[in-house]
Amino acid sequence: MQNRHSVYLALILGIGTVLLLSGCPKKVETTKASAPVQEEKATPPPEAPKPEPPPPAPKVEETPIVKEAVVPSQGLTDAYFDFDKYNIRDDARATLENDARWLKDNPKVKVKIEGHCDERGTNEYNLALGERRAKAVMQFLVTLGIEKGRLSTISYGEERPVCTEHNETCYAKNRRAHLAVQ
Amino acid sequence: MIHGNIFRIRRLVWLLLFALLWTGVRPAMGAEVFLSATRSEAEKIPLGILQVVAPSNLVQHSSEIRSVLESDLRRSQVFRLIHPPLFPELANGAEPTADVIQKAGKQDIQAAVWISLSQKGEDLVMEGRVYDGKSGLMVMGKRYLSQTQYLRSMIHRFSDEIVFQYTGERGIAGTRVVFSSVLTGSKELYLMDYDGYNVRKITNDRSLNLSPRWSPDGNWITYTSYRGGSPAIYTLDLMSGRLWKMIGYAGLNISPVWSPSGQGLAFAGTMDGPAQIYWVDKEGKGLRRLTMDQSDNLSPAWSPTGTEMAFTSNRGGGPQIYVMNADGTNVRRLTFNGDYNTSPVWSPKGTAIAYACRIDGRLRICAISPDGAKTAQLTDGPGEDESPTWSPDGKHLIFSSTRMSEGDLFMMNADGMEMERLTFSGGKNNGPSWSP
Repeated sequence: MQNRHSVYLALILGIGTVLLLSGCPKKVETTKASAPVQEEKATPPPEAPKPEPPPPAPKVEETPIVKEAVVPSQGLTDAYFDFDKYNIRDDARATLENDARWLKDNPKVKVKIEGHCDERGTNEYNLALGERRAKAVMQFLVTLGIEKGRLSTISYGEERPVCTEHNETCYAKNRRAHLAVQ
Repeated sequence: MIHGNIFRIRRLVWLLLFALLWTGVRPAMGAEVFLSATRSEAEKIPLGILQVVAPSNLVQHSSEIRSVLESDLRRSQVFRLIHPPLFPELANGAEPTADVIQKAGKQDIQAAVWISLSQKGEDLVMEGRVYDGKSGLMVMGKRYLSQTQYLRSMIHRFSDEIVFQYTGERGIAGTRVVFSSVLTGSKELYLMDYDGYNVRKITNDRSLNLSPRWSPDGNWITYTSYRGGSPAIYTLDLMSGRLWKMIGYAGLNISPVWSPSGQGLAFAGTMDGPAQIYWVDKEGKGLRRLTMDQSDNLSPAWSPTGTEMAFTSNRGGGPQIYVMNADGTNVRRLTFNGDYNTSPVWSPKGTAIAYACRIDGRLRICAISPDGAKTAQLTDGPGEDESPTWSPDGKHLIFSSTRMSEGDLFMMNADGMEMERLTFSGGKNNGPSWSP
């Protein structure tokens, strides 16, 4: 700023001197704006004005809440977990033993084990936790005699809750491994 | 558009709630030691907007110009706003003379702003000038020309120019924020101006899109998407709209973050079992594993020089923040308070790492110096706060919070003061990332 000032002052003084030397009879007016208004060649200004191509505004067909198609997994029950834990609880052990029995009765069925978390905790960490839960359930089913090739895993972290209230009853329902028939 | 209406209503609410909301949270003792705003109130430069001149057909814009510019300049933490009286000499749109400016200068205004608005064809012309209150001389002048719908962006640019003039560092009013929201039912990515305006959707695949991060040049958004069925990392070119899959190993491919040089990115993947941090170059090739233990390691955050990385790991039990060299060596634990600390982000100046901390059962925003010596809790109150992201000037944080809704974005000074709510969409907004 100081530099600019002195440049402008120098300019003004310079011009003034030239005018004085050229014998101009009038007094030089130096009281006007000391810095010129610079025209910004911004037509339109670069950043924001560029209409972002990705948001395709014309596509107005917004469908509200598309629920994931519920895969009929009759006979299969979700296993539940404690907060920030992925060990198989005793109640989940019983559940998964039933699930394994059903899978043995239905030997052609393949299952994707979805790991889920409650909304507490942070999204990225919950993705890793959900993955742990899904893999823990897969491992448990394998030890019960289910072929690994029939099982796959995916983690949804806290992104796909089945219950949306903010209380422990809901959180407990969301901390689950869901067995989705493929 | 459905969300168009919602956002328009949102603006009204924004105005109404504005006054209520920037009562800051008291930062924890010691926060000011390493996080305080750069200037105290007394050190801020007194600035006054003398006049916004507009012909009668444009006069409806003058109050918007004034309020947007004042908000921008207040957030810059460089200026203290003074409301000067209307000088009779400036009536009828007359340009300010040195005398008037000096008169304002006597009322303690060090930087006097004068703006005039006019029309050129279909476009608006906004001319902004800054005068020095003492000398009465013009310090800076800019003329902006654009369509009416970009008026806010012209004002932001002028504000950034004023900040640059007085600090040598560009302001943040022209920056943007990308975040995820379930406004339309599926989790999509959205862009907004740094002040919460001008929200627009940038993904539309009705899938699950999260953890967006900017490339260092501000041209690309890299994020995790389930659009192909399993979580993989994609990059979207904002200019062309081109989208490509960068990383898609077995299992999770999450929390991507570009190195400051832009030569590659770090991310977390589960291809080897537990979540580990890996590096790939900008083509998505040259995979290198950086963490080696058997716990989960994720959410890498580069130091501004690119020599170190902070990340989340539960190798000690619960999740904590760790720091390592960029090649994976020299791992050391940074946080020891509490049993749940995640989502580190390194400040642009390198002096602090903000993260989500769990205190008394609720997630808050905390900060710690990279040597671990100084810590601070920055937020408090109802709801849960997470996903902090730094402004490019390091003076602000934006984070997501459920303190007033199902999830919205809030801005605060780096020391936790002057909190402002930015979004009102009701869409469970989270995972914000501030543009360079």
